[in-house]
Amino acid sequence: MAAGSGEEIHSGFDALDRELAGGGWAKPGVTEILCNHTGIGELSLLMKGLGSKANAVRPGDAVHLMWVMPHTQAWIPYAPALSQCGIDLRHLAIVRTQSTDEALWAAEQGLKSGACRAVLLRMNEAWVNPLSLRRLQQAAMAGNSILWLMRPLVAAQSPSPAGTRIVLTPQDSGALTLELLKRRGLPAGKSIRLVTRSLACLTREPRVVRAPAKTSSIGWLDRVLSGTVFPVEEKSANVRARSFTRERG
Amino acid sequence: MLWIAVYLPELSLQSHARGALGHMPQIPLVISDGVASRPHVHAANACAREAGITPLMPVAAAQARAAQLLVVPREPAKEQETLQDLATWLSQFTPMVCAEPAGASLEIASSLRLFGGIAPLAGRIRAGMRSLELLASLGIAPTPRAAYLLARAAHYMSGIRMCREPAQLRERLADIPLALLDWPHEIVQPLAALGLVRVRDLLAQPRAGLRRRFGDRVIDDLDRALGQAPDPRVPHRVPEDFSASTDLLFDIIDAERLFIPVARLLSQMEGFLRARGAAANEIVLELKHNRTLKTRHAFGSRHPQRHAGEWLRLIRERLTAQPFPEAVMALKLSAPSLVAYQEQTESWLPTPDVRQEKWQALLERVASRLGNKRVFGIREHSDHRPEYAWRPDIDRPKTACTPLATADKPRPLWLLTEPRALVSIDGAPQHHGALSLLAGPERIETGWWDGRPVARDYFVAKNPQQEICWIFRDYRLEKKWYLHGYFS
Repeated sequence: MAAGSGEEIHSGFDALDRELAGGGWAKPGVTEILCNHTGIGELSLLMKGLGSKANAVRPGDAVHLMWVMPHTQAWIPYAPALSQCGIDLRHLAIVRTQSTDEALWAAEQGLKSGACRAVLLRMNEAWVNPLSLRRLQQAAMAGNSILWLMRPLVAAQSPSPAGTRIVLTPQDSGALTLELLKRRGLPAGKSIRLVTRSLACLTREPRVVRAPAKTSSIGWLDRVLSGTVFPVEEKSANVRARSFTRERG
Repeated sequence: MLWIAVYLPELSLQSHARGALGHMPQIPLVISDGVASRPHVHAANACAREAGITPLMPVAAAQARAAQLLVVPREPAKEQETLQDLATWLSQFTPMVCAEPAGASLEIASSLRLFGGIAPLAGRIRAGMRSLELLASLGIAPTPRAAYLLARAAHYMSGIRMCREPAQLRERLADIPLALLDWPHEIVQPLAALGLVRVRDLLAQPRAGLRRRFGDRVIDDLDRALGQAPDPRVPHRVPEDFSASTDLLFDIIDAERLFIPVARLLSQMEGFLRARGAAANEIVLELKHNRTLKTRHAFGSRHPQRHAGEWLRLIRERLTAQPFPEAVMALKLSAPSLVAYQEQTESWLPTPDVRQEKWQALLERVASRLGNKRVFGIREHSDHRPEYAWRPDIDRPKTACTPLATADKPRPLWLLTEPRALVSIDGAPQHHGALSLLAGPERIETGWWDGRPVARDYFVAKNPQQEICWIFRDYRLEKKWYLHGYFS
């Protein structure tokens, strides 16, 4: 891709950087992440770039990250995992909002203030007023920061002023398929496949726990845990972890 | 010694209706004084003066000139309060401030260096008077009495009213009318009859004769003004805590209009905080709607602040988000908790401090509107139980945490605040379909000492939708499966 307009934040994934204009998340700018699932590696996609050394902050730049999420959401960002990603927790603030208006307002304040390097906004509503999105876009430009807007997949059908829109779909192997609906410059043709999570069980050879042939009254797992049966590693690339239903059959 | 005196020509008017002067619809207003049966006009505002109303005119005559004239009886107590507030506000420049009959004077020789000279200091005082919505004139002289005379003269006569050298005092005071010296009628009247109307005339007379005819007061006052007699002053004492209120002449329904008197109370508070070398953590704004109904708003700040502008921004966020139920009649602002203020040095380049300040200001603005508990940071905490391995970080402690070495263990980016029980079919946990285990177990058994023990085996598991979850099995008690996080 051609060089971008402003400074970029490298995503940490070379395949993605090649597709994004300028070689990274555009700053300032709005990027929409569209996905319906939780736990398919959508956060790791963003966190890897923020935590990586390649994006060292230059003196005078904003370093903080503001994370706006609905009050009702049952889960919150987990500090030890963020540290593992290399995120400095001192520069992170979480804002829990009770309504869409509050969320939009808080995100706009964060972007406009110029104190945030990036603002992460999760919106569960299928439809958001395009004018509010336009305001966010302008606030991001004014404060020279990035907005990552996470929305459900339905939102892909409505137009958006965001510079980049990415649809995430999970794959069998724990990898993630990224489809760039919109980007600066020429439209992207092919989708990208990435393994975003640094989970050992995803990157290394799949491990299989061998169950004993005959079944007994005690559950299989109880025997594994009580020490009567030891899980055995099998170095076969083709065999994937077996589900419980199959083991018991 | 060098003194600046501040004279408030419209003291009685402004102690009543400060907020109402510039921003309210033009309504003629007079302050009445004298016996209740035959009151006379003590002071009139610009609108009333245009209608031809002058001081000392009977109120009945004034009412004949302006139909919708608003007459407010004079309240000396309120004027005293305004003078005290003024002296407190001025105490930010010097510890030696003393009240005058309608103003205050402050000794500035020792503060000139700090504030960069007379002109910048006088400029700050003038700007402050504007933000307090007080009409004021200034006079500068080596003695307080002369400074006050010059300040009064600056209001009534034109010309620069400043004198830095004691030797020039005699010449500068020469053409000031004796009426400005606040002497009683029985002294001024015979003096005028003798043709003595200015200070110059009096200075030309033999001192012994003046003393014999008019008593000690005339000569003593002149000597003090000229610096020839001692003029000891008692400095104003700044109160321990801050509380200021204002009555609005008209009920205010519109929040935007309310910010004008609020901004004035805040600048009054800023002066007080500067005088005490303090800053406030929390301020309380009380809106009085009628005799019984009051609404109370407390505004907190995470780091002590004193700037009126910053506080106003917080108040603006809150009051525009929550409109008040009824029209507002009066306001009261108080600062219940004061802390020592730490001055920050300014720097040319944007430093981490500036960045931090912008960030703090942002968090405060957001917290002020959404509520304090809804904006927080997170930090690691050294505990093996996953739900206690992090802490919300509302007060931003300075201590560095020493996290446990779990870098090699899988930890999810999303953690459920409450583990969610999973349905199991034939002993196999389900979450949007059957879960298959990818890694584990990681046994965590600890916490027996504080009554919240855990005994769990954690697994990384995947469901048919390819969502990777962090699940655990409580192996001690009920042997049930729980969902505790998402590897997002």
